[in-house]
Amino acid sequence: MKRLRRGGFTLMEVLIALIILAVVAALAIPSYRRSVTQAESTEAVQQLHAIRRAEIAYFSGEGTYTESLERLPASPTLELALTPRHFDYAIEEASAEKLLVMATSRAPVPGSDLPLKVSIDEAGNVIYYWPDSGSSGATAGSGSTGGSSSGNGSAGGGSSAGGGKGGGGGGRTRRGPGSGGSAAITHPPLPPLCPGGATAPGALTYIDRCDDAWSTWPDSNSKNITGMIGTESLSAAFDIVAGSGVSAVTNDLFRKGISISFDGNYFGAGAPCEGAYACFFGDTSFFPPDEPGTLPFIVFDPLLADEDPTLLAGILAHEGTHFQQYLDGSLHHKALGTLTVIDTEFRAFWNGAVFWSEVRDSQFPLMTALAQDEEDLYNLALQGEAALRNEIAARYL
Amino acid sequence: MKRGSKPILAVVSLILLAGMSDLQYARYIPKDGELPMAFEYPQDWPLDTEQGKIEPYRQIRILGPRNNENSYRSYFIVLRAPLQADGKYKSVADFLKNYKEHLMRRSEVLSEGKTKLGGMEAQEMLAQYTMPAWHHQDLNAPEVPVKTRIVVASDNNYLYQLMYSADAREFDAHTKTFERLIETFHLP
Repeated sequence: MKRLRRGGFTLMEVLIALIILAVVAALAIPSYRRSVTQAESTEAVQQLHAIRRAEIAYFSGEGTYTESLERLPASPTLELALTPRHFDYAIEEASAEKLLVMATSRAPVPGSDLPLKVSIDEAGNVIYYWPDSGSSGATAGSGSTGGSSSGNGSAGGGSSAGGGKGGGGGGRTRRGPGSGGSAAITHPPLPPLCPGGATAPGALTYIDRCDDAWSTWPDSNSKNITGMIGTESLSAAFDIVAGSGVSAVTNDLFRKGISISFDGNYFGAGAPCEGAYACFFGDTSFFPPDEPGTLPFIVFDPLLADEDPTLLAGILAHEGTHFQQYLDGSLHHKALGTLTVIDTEFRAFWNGAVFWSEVRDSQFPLMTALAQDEEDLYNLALQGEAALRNEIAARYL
Repeated sequence: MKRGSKPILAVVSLILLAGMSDLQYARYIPKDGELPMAFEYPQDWPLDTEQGKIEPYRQIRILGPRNNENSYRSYFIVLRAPLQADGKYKSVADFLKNYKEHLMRRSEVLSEGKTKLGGMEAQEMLAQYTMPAWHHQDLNAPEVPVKTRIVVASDNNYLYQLMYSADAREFDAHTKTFERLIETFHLP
């Protein structure tokens, strides 16, 4: 007689199915929560930067940071920052010299009973405090010292800041907000935001600076190529830019006698310009119109000393644009948060691409990585302003 | 096992997993003076608006997560630019031609075709290229293979461009999210 098999599950089948579901749930839920917390921490960082910018604005009028969020100047950005969703915000330290703002997550980090904390200081340094790893992920913020570093004429770096990579030379005689250190003093108001000159839609033409904001900084009128090596190459590069459509850049470098050199002290592991082809340093703790206490300067990586001066000229066009941004206050606005790294790097990249458009025909076939980099970023500029800005954002933010 | 129970078990598991991985979405609704369009985007992704300084466009940039090697951030953009006399491009075809002519090294157009965007006839393109290393201070910027998906349409006055760009190795992670943005995009 055949045995009839009834429908249904055996106990073992049910148990196996339940175990599988439980394992899947145990694995999926914590990683989902962790990923949610990491996404939320991005929100915290943005909110912290908004609060810091408001504190800097408060400082410029009062000469000190404030402990009270309610006293900060109102703005839509700050309003968003103070409408907490996943984090609560508090000012832990506020004085004439120091600022520390802390974000504390409302939910604990998965696997822990403790929240995630994220802090920002007056220099824009962001530190994450994960409960299982202590503080981590200190990132250099857009501090008010040093300037923009750049690469191949198209790769502009953000302003150097904390983390021991600050530039700008020594001998500061006064500091502005966000630079930390000795007693802060008030400074004259910055010139208005300067977007640079307009060009015809679709044209790859030079973006000029706005007016020079430094009325008491006397002109030097000298081509100041310095250093122990590569002075002929840099001098040739300078002359090439001076004969191009971006000659206004070298006009300003000449007018103020800005030092340009190969200098290995700034490159290599742990050095301020590590990874960069070149750096511009302009100490934004000095405010126009008074002459800066420390003069800006441009340094190139000595590894480029044998490069074709035309390629060095492309880098100089980029770095020189950052110097022009120092002259018209754009870099100061960036340090204070009213302009972004996208704004400042876009202008430098764009002018580098304008220069490259004039010389590229003579550079084919492209023999070096630097030449190929110039060509790629020229193509990106030709995709348009939005494309270039978006790729800068993807790299920097 | 009972007939039909295996599919049921599979469906239950998929629903459980899908529910765990869903992003929460926010709806962009323009206020006065903002870009006149609506769409949905991940609510935890920061959104910035931008107006061109030297070219006549306005865009919304929505920033996704950085890639695993921390060298590139994925992003969506929603852009509107005037066509013809006031703008850089004369048509969707003009825009795509310029884009293809100026891709970066090791580039390849992977696919092209027609689609719809907000009820308008649109062109879609998927391309890959290599973003060069950027030799910057304080920037982790090695070469990155990038994939970009673009959907472009026009209403004869404006060009509308939706774009998703990401590290090519992680591009699939947010394809569905971008599709939701496309599907929910419309002009009020």
